[in-house]
Amino acid sequence: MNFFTSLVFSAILLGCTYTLVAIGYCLFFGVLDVVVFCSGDIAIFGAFSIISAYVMLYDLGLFQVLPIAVTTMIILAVAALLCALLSILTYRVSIKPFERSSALMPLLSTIALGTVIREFLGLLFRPLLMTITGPITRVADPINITSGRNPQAMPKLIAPNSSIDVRNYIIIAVTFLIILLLFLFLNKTKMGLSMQAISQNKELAYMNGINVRKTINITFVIGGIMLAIGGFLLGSYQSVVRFDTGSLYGSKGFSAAVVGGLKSIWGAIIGGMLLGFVEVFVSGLIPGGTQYQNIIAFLVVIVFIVFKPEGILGEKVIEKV
Amino acid sequence: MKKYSFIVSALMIVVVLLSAAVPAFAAPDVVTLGFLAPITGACSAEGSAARNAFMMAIDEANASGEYPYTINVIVIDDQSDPTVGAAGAQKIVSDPTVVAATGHWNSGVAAATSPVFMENEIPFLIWGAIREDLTSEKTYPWVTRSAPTDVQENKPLAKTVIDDLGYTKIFMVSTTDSYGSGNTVAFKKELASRGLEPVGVEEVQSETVDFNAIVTKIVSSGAEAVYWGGVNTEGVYLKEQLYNAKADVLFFGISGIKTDDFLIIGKEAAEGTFAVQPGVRLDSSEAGRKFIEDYESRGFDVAINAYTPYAYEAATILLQALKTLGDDPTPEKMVDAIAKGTFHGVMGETTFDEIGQTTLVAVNLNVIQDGQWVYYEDSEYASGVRKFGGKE
Amino acid sequence: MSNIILQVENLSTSYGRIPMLMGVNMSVHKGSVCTVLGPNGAGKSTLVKAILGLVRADKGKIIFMDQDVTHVPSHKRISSGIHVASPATGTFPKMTVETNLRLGAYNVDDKNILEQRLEEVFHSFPILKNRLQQKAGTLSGGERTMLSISKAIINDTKILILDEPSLGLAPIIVEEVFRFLKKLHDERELTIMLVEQNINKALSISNFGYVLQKGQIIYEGDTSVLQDSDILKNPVM
Repeated sequence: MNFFTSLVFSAILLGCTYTLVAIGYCLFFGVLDVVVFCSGDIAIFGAFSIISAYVMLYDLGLFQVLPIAVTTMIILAVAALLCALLSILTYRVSIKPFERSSALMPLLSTIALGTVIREFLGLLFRPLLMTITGPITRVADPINITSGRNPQAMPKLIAPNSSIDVRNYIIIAVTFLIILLLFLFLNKTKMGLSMQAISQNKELAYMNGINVRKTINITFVIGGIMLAIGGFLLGSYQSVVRFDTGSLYGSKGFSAAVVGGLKSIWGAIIGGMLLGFVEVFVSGLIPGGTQYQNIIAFLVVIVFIVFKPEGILGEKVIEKV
Repeated sequence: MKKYSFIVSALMIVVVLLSAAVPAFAAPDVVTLGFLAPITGACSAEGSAARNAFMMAIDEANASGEYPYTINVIVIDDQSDPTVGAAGAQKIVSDPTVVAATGHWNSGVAAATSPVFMENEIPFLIWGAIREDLTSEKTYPWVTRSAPTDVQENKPLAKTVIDDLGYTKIFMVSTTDSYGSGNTVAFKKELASRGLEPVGVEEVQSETVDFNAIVTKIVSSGAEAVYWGGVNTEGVYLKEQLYNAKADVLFFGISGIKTDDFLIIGKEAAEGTFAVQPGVRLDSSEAGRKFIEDYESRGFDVAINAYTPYAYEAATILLQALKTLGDDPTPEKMVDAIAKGTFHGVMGETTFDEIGQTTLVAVNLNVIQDGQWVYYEDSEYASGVRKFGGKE
Repeated sequence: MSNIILQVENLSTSYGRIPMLMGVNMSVHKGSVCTVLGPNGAGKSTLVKAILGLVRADKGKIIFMDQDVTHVPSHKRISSGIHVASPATGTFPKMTVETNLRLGAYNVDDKNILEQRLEEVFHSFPILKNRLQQKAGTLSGGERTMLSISKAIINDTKILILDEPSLGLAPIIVEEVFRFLKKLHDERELTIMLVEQNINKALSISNFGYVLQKGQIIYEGDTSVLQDSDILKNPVM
């Protein structure tokens, strides 16, 4: 790969990681008009759930017996379940109680909850895992569990015996597959259409007899599952996860969602890719430019907020969540 | 209103009683030391190991019966955050039994707390923050430092990598925080003094996780070696991504990456990482071996890392200074006892120069071989069996 | 089962601390067309929302088909047969006509029944069939009114509440809408509750009327009596 294609490839991958988190923001904002700021932390929680499930399966000896595709599915199912629970908890604990207050309250409470999730991972991940599996040294060979606050190695589950490029192609392909599935879900199923209905006009959704409460709960379950897969993909891409990167992915994912119009999934993809490309190209093409990549990326966001507050696909889009 | 005035007057009585009581309990029975480290937060592994080592030394001293008072320690978790650190320093100086304090792994935090200790005239010994400007004429004699500065670490690193191993095309990547930027300046100076220029310099914000654009740049720049001027937290990501891109380079850095947590990326990805560590080889002296043994026998959940012996050394320095002052140590006496004293610890003999900086600058060289940190001299790289990246 | 399908008893609601409805009593007889008249801000929309359960009742009761539904969640009230058509806000403009109809029939689970009812709707409003894939937002005012009514009646509708069906429509379209409503009532014996400002049109098809003002019912009676009543000559109306 030459210099330029290699940069494009990095940008697409980075864009994918931002997009996956941005879609979480879109789903939640769609049904509630609330910015769920701990979306990035839920994704990182998902990545840590995958590490835990992996270690437990390994500890039980199942990993050595079952084919990797089966174990990966089990691991993903566990992570999806845990993230769905966390996501529902987020709704119940930090959003629902503030239903009748200003939109600022759930914003603040989800920021606070994000800190709780981060610190939970940093402080309790290792001790909790060790109470379940016993001393981690037994699985020292495939994965090293350090103290929770340090970077953790992500198990290599995607094409473990192939080259890194193959793994990266799979990550991009899965990201787009997930987006496609979500798109079909939103447009072809009754539940998906109800989510869109609530997003467009909540009162009318009520008047049409839609069980709004149930739909919101299901949105959080689906959002949690999406974020779990997001955490799996971004963790697999980086090979390393750190407990506190949820806030980074949270703010990047949020920016991507804002650029894309907050309610549109296509907007989130464009926003995520735009941020990925801006960051990678600023860092890759300007000598010494890396220190400015975040500034320039956020400048792009600010420019969008000033000149196109409704986002790239703000009003015209059909596929509203 | 009545209820409140009752509470207020009750509180006032308590305050008066307490303030009257404190001096009466003070001097002879208890002498207090302040200890500050990032016990939680991003640098918690380093901070908690340091806390363990420091407390180990204090516990030994209290148990020895050689001190005519109990040595008490106020442990402050600075969370690597300057504001949290400064608040902790305030807490320490407000205790009248405090005679000295030691602190910090993060230079930014040390810069925030040093003025607090100076204003309150409490001698402050830095055990693990390495930015050069933390010790100066202005801070002397109140602030001293037993750890070598980043400049002191970069000198032997540059000597080994450039002069001994012969690398000249070096790409520098550092974080923009005070630790990283201090290293950037220091290592550039080392290159310049040899008439060299880095083939590229990139600075990243701390918490960065995606280095792929920089990796692409490094590969296309023809660099033979990558200097990492930051800590392990971001360093593992860079090393992993260099490995994934099959970049044929030597990855080297100062002690910020010399921790077992660097090994999580796996044997293959971490192989050949080269780092200096301050201090003498612990296993080369009797005292050092005893320290390792004692620490490991206590079953702490964090392992010894680069600066852990320095925290132990700081405790040793403070304890030996206390011993010279008999049964009535005060901050005023402690400041001279520290700045002008000579101390013997696990690292060797420590004295302080005219700006309070330690004169004991020993480093050891380490390399990751088969998923373990080993001393460079003992490794297959030194014997020629294995070769570093970037060289034929 | 009594002859009254929907009964509102001493209903009071408020928005924050501002009272919106104060002790409203009304009943709608099965198979009748009942009109609620009133000026802007009289509380007509609040009344509709309270019947649907979108606004909480502070006091009083709502009884639908002999069941006290005051504390029943709105989606259950709607699935039991209370349906609202609101031409002004009753369609999702960014969705297609087909999706709008599908969402209107949210609680119809049987596909065959849905198909059959859609056929009936297309029979009444052939234009909708041609516009199935068009966004509702691109429809004309009249077409949108028809779509919103269609959304309500493709259910097992026991009572159809119409929230200002003539709002913003050209007189000729209003004529057509009311003709359709009359036909709907005659053919399906559908109970209709009409909430309107257009007094003459409303009274022309209804049997019984209420006049709501400042959150209170100030008059009720047969339309024949109401038509000649002085209360409608009040300039506020």
